Amino acid sequence: MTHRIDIMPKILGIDLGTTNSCMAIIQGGQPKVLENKEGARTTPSMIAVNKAGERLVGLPAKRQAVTNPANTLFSIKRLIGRRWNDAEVVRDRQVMPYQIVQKGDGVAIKMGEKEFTPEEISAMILQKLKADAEEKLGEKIEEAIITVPAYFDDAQRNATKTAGEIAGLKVRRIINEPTAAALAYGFDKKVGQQIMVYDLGGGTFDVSVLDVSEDTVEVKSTNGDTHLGGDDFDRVVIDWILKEFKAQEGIDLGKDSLALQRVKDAAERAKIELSTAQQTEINQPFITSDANGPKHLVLSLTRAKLEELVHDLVVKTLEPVKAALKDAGLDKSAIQEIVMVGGMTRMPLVLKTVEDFFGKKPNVSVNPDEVVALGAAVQAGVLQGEVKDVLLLDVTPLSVGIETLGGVMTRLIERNTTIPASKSQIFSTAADSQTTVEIHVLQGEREVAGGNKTLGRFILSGIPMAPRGVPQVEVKFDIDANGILHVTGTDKGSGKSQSITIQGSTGLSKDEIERMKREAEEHADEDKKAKERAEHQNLADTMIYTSEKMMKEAGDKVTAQERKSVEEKIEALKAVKDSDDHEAIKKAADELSTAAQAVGAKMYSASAKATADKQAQGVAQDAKDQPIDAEFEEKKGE
Amino acid sequence: MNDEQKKQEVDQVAPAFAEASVGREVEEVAKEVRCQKCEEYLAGWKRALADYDNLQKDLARERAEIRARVKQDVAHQLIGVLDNFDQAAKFQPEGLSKELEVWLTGLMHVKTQLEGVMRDLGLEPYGAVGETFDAHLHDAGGEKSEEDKADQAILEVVTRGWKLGDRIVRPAKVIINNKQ
Repeated sequence: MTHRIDIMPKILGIDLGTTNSCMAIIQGGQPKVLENKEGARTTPSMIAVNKAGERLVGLPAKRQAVTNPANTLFSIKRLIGRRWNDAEVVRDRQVMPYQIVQKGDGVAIKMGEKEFTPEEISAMILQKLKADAEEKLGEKIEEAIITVPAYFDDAQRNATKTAGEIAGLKVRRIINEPTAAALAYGFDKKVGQQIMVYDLGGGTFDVSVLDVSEDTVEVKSTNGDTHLGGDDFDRVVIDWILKEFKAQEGIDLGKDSLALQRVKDAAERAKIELSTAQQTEINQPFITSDANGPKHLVLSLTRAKLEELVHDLVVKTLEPVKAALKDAGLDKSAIQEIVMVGGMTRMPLVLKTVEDFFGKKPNVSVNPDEVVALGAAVQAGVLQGEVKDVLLLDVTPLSVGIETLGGVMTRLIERNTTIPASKSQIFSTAADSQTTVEIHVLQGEREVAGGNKTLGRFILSGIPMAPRGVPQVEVKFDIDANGILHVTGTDKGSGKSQSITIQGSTGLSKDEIERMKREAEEHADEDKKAKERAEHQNLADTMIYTSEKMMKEAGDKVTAQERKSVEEKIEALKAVKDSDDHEAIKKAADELSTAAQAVGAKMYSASAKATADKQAQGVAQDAKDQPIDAEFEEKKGE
Repeated sequence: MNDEQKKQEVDQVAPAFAEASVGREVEEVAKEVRCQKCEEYLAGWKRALADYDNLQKDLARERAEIRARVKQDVAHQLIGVLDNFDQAAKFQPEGLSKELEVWLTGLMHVKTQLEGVMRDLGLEPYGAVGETFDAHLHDAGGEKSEEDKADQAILEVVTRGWKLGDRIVRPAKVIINNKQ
């Protein structure tokens, strides 16, 4: 057993958010989000001190906020690095439930009996993230990369760095959140491109225009709305629910704090569900009661209605987008990529609005709640040297396989498999005494062999004569690191082998790949039917073949009546096997199977002869368990 | 200087200095570059093997986590249904007829059955009036101030908490005594 020593300690990528924070590391060259101790992928950026003087960080702080508002601190990011007279601070001094006091030119916050600077508060969040990461990874974390909004000034950046240092972290870099998001998508390699980052979080909205050059990612402009986010969207849905309930029952649920909490949870859930569903039900039975008895909140909310409710909020986000473009001196057509950040960007209306505005699809493949932390981890990886020399592994653009009985494509290596890769499968013959098999190598996503591209074909001959299904032909596909496909067919009985090498199986043009994928989607239904038909016919053929063989070999061990019964069933199956009536084929095959099994069982009890034993088993077995019959043609005269 | 640059330099240098002595030097530089490449590839290969080995361990761990998570997700859906059963019980009207009493008893048996399913999944309910509020276990939904009760004591359990082993699947939502 070897022991691995990590020479290079991990650098933690941290998205220190206004509402939630997230952390990620690089593992095996890939960024990965680390869960906190509670098992959540994000941690509320909240701190509290309870009556017992215990300090609570994250979720526990959030859970007691209602009963301890003066000592529960949140949105500290709005205060970090700010001066006492800054507009943001003046505003927060009026609206925050906790007490903000002056400390020199800057601010401090009272929590319990003590005063803390925003740096110290932020450090407590960072400390928790650090401790949770260490517990998860089983190793010390001493360095970090922390992200900040692009509009943060030097004082705010320095204060964030100080927070990291108080938490015991050496802050290797402070990077911009939009830059981190672009890094997560690997857009730092897109030299000369302009990227728009659209970040609609829980409470804030930020847009940034990035310019990617050889060595740097420059933030050309930023804009946004510091008080627009998911909470506003939730509020709109909550108000609609309260209004509907009041119209139905005449009761204002907003006055009942417990009922209101249930409504809030239900509104958020409905909003999330409508990102994937067209309609959802808000079902909160026994939500309240009056003199007439209990009342139930049961409402149906459609996506169309939700979009009508939040339409103005979504449209509102376009103004900062236009302003940021103007400040960057760019037309919207100059933006090559749009990166979506923040949970709210999952909403289809948000995506559609952005797509309609820019005339191109925004990037959404990386989880928008995690994309900033993942980007910070990518930057950490670059500093650690893990990402620098990452070997770019290729993948197979389309599946490869062979044609099998009934004109079906049997895939051996699936699309998107990382290469080099190899796979083998055992096939057999389709007819008695078949001595050759044709291996027809295909590429594509269609179920029907004819719909795919032929990469090559070859004949494996010299298979010893045997009943169908007995020979074992191993077909091995091997795609090397250069995308060259080697296909080998080997008859396990004789050891005879044939192979073919196909160059450039991965070198298809993007258009060609897209066309083949599109065709597969377009023909999915008819292909599925064709495949099912082929499978049923194969099953029927196997059943007929094995039953006839069994009856022939059974001789006088079966009564005339039993023979007649099986033969009738064979004829019935033959009559339907070529039809499109799958149910009829299945029914006839089942009936034949039952009749043949009865005969087989009788033969077992009557005789222990090994041959009979083997044949009976063959009939009883589901044909799916047998080797797959390849599409073989009997080569006469070979 | 990265390897690509080194390679290019060797490629550019080689034809210009084809004479014997310089040629040897070039050959040696090329050999050194090749050696470095070998080292680099060997290190990369070892790293790939180690990564794969670690990935297998990670996958085994993640599989266990996914199983627990799936269980937790299923439980989460059922918890909502159980909450509504609890809520319904709180609204039980008085003076029910004998027939309705029996019918209601049957309905509450369905609730008990559902609780059995939760226990079979490994989930345990918690949270009771009189316990001291703990933000690691409880979610404060509201507060009252009652002199005769202990400070921070739970006065009402709005919805029960559920845990799976040590993990809190859903904290208990409670009303607590918050003496000023």
